[in-house]
Amino acid sequence: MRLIVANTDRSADLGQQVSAAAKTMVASVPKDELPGVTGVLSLRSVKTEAEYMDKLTTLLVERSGVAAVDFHVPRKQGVMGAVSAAVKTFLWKVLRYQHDRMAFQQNCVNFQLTASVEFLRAEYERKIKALEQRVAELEKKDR
Amino acid sequence: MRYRIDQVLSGFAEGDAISTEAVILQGMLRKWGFESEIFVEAGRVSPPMRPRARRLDEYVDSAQNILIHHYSIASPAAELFCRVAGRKIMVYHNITPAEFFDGYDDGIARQLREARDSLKRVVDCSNAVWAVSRFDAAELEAIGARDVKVFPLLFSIDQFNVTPDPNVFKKIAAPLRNILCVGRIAPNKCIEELILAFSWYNKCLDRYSRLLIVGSERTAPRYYLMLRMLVRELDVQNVCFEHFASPAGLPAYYDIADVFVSTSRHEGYCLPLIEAMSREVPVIARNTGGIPEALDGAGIMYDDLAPEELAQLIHRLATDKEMNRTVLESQRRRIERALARKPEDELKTLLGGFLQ
Repeated sequence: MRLIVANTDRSADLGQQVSAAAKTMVASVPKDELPGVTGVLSLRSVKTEAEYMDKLTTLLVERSGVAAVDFHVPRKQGVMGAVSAAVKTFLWKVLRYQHDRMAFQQNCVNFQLTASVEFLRAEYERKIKALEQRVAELEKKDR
Repeated sequence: MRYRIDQVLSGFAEGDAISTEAVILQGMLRKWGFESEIFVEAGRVSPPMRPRARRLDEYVDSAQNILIHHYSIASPAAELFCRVAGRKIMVYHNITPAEFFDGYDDGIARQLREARDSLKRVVDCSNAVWAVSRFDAAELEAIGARDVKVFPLLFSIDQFNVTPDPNVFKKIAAPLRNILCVGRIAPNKCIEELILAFSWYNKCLDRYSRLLIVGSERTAPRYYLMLRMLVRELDVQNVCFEHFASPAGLPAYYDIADVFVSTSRHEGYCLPLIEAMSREVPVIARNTGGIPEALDGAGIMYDDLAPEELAQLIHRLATDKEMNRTVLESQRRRIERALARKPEDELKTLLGGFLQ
């Protein structure tokens, strides 16, 4: 790592501090909650638009669900922060009755859409393949 | 009849650094009494810029005229430049490595490869070659170009002499810490690395923070889609894709920003860094391409930071007043140097041989 701050090399002091703080931060987060874990970035390794489309379709199908699970309500300092966080947490619990129903419906719609994309893609691929085969046969005949 | 000095561009769009430079150059040339037009392929001009551009096929070739071509991608404009009989100046804005666009846009990747393959030919057919940074000049010298002159991208502080758009302030009214990134949403900018860093920052260091990504997503829609999916997969709050900013919107974003971050892995120069510094926003940028020249000793430059380390660095810059003051002071000096530039004199010197 190299850090230049206002034209001064601070890799040895600031760089080390930043690195140590980052290590502590990573260690403090449960492994399954690590923010950096993602499969979407696999799209970076594709080489053609066709490959991108393949991977994207798979990702869409795998990730079409809407999560309605509990989440961490951020809390500001002080009494007001505590009250605000408590109100938000309470509201979230109360509204879950509605959220869960909406999330279920949204998940159904998402599934229908992503499945349609997948089927359409398969259908187009089949048609293109058949056409390519026909063209090849016709070219063969011409010769 | 007095000769003309025209420019040919591969594309012409509002907010684009090359287009802005062409407009500033045109203004200077017209001020000196030259007839000067900007020629662009029809269909490659954004609607607001149409009144300022002429169609490429309207260019009238003459051995007396001077033609300036801003080169960064293969295009009919580059072909015309090579073909015409007049005196020719190539301004090199660097070519983004095609690998960045593989999979996201095979057409652009192909054009970039063609541009790289044709670079020597375009250099050879030019009577003079200018580059917008020493980094770019070194690339040209490596392929045998001689006497390459450096003419850094023009920055006009006048562009910010507008009232910042109040709608932006209204829209982003919640008092959060704002991390800003400005530029086209393109794969070479590696915005995913900033989103990963922000994910750490927002979840572990400052819940009351926001990432503002300002820039057109039309260059690489597939890349943009990946970024949107990434944000969703990380389940990170407050990542705002603000799209293209109007001339009044852009200063508003700079004014509300607490830190400007560029994680780009390829830049010929990077004008947004200068813009951010001119609006007193502390800057963090990756040490790559022409960025060291754009920063010129100001701001913070890094190599090889993991996302969590970048998050810590952003946090440090946002909360450490002493460090913030040092960085801003270096940036003020940088902007003073930028404003002390006399672009008209530089241009006159560069054009010297042609004007006699």
